[in-house]
Amino acid sequence: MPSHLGIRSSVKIVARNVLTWILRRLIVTILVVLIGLTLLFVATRISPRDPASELIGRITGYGGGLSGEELENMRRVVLQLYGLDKPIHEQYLDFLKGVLTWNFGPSLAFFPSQVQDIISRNIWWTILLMITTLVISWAAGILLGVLASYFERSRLSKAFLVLSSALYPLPYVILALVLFMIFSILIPIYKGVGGTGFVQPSLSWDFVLAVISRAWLPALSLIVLWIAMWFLTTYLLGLSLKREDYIFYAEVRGLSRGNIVLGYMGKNVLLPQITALILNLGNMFSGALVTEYMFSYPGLGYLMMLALQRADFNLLLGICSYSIVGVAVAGLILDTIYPLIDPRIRYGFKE
Amino acid sequence: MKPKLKAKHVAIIIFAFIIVYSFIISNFAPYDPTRWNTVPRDQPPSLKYPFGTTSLGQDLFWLCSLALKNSISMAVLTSTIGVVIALLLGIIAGYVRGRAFAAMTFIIDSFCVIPALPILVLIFSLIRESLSPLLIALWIAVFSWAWPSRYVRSVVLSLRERGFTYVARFSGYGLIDLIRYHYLPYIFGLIVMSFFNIMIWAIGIETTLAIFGLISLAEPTLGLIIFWAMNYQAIPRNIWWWVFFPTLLLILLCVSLYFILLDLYRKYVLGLSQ
Repeated sequence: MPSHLGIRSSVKIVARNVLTWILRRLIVTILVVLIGLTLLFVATRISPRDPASELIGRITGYGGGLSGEELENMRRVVLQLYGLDKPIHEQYLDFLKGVLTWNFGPSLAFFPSQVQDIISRNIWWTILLMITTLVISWAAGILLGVLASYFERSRLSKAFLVLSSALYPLPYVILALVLFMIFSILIPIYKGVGGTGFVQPSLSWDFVLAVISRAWLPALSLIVLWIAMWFLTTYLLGLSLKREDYIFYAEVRGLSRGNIVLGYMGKNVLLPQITALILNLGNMFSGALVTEYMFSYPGLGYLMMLALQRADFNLLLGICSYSIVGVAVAGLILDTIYPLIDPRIRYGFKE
Repeated sequence: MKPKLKAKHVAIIIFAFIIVYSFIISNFAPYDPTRWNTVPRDQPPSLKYPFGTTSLGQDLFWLCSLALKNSISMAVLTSTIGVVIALLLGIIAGYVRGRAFAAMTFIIDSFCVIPALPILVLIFSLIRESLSPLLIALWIAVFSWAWPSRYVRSVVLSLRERGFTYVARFSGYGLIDLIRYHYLPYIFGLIVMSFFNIMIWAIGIETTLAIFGLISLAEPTLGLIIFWAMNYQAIPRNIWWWVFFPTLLLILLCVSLYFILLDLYRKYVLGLSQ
């Protein structure tokens, strides 16, 4: 800030710049969401799968002879329900209107439930699982990584290094499968899959307990994999940090080890790891998808697979809208608070 | 000094075993391992059937051997396509300037953060009927090249400003020759590493999609064996070997590839020859 300006005008300039930046970032976010949604819409509409005939196929599969005319009537009603009988540009506008008003129409797989009712029933399972596992694995991985790189010669840190190097390249689906086999054949204590039924989400102990009894194994598998990932990246960062002069200086000054590890190395490792966290947000949804499918965990990923299997395009578009908006907003929030964490960050302000 | 057995040696030995088992031994199968009811069903591992048999009456030892071969071939195909795209786009992005540079950077960066798995799940379930091995490899490769491409770009960016680039240009080297004789030696290690990296990633993606039931091929892959095992409730019915052996092979494959990759990283990037 030029020194000849008064404090008040400096603050004004900063405030204006920050607002401009947030506005610009908001516009980019909206554009990204719009592009994502449009691609999604196009993908479902050019797909060779026909939701109406698949639904009718399922219904007639249960038996009951229907005449050709009845089938034709049924088909028309289904298409109308879906809004698929309109021209394509009207369908697109309807879809965008649906996203804006958060109303995605009826689901065909769970007829006659509305899509947003189904989603709001299942979304908390996913959110709870993802936030808990992400926070635990991120914090634990970074802490262990910093400690292991500071005490790089200790046997424990070497053991951790080998273990996480072996875990890191594994496809997540395989890790989940191995844990599932261990806890359902070797030590049969996981009874989460099937049987429990869906508990209505609420802020009661019953719901929390139901989530925990069902979620601990999916959570464990995600935590194991992600700890390995955050541990390895932190370890490498920590090794190069340890060679820095200021760490040496801190040691010579006789600072306590705890202070050096947490205050000097920990803080400096945190910054790139927050960047990595932002970059990985999109991949979190992949994690959710695999976990929920493998453990029949009643979240959004599981719903999405169901929607895909039954060509329920309304449900599919609804879930994907939630995910795209969720990831984009999370990225926006993290980006906005980033300069508060790292004062060196500049977003190209002009004076 | 005693020669010490290191992780990388173990990894190379395991990888060699995997190659022998998949590409050589699979040719000696006494019967078509994919055919149903060639052997008794649900036999646990024994001397006669080292890996046991499936509920469909297939011998897992020969089936896994063939499936491993297919999984590796598919990953190599994906990796080759991915590396070629990464190399081309990375070099172009590193070499061009101005608007084109910004556009290339935008494309590469977007592909870095796009979550590949949900999109592939979406695509594969919408076009499931028309998938062939080549098409599967191609689609997976579309999402594989972004990170390697970034590395290539950053190396080319730094090479571009070096003195020898100008000397070569002023001596009449064309772009192709410049890349071939002066840049490729720098990028070579990176390419090899990217190849292994994409391979590990592609094996994972292919397995995941197969377990999701989105890849239905006549040729078995390890993921498909697991898919069938789960479809026939192998874990609740305690036929653990049906899931265990393909899983074990996948773990060995991925981990040995990763340790070889780490060794390449030490050699090419950190410049340590040991």
